[in-house]
Amino acid sequence: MIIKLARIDDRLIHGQVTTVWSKEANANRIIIVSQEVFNDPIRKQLLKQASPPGMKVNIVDVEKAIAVFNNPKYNDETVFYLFTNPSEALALIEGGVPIKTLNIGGMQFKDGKKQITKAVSLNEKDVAAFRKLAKLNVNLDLRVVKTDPTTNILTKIDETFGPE
Amino acid sequence: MDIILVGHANTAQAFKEAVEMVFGKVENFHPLSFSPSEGLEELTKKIETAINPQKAEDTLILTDLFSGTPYNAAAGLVMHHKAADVIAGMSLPLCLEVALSAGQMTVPELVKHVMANTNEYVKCLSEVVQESQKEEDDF
Repeated sequence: MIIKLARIDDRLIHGQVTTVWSKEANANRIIIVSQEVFNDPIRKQLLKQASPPGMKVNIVDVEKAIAVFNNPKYNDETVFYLFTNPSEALALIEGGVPIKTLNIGGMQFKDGKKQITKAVSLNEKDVAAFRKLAKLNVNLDLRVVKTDPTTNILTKIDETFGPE
Repeated sequence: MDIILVGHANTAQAFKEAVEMVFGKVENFHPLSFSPSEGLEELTKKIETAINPQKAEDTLILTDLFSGTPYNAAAGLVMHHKAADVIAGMSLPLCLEVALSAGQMTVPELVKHVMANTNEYVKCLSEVVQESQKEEDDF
């Protein structure tokens, strides 16, 4: 599989993703890697029907995503990965899927999280995952829309959570 | 390319804000309102003032309703070569398609591209679900 783009965005398939980022990715498929969505048949169906024109949408867990990535049948397929959180992205990368750059678009605020930008809130688990990703030399590109300036998420994490 | 948006009431400004929420800044989008107190002539003047005369050939006007006053005013200007073309049917998907393509195409190319994809702009869940069920399952 040829990785065109990888993004964390817990709204998954929505306006910014279908119009701008899908065109930027120019991939055959969107693969959503999320245990939570994978276990929820209605959400799966909702995401599949919202696929951008000309793109297939698949929803898988990390294990299945690694198997599909290594399946020679999909060697020439281009893919746009979507995640809801950095831990599953980290698990995929540690499983051998070579994502070089991870775009971080949106992670909504929930109890127990701290807001680091207008669109991104993190808990301690997220912070640990991002720091691990940085150590694996994954480029962490914090950008909601394409025209935003690129910010390394670690700068924002250090500002809010303090340095490691 | 310059894009002039003209809609009934304040819809044009709202569409620009919506585009910026999804796409990001669009400095080349110029929204104009149309209020009940304005007539065809007044609106025509307002649109003409918003167009850079040096860029008439590179200016596309988007209006909301075909044969509404914003469209009629824009059509008059295009006929007089004050702008390149006008598309009626302003919607968020249309505006986004224009925002995405404006930097890479001439007005005639963009018009051709947009008009070939208009069936993507209106969708209904029950029809989409029927379509997507014909397709393969997960891997």
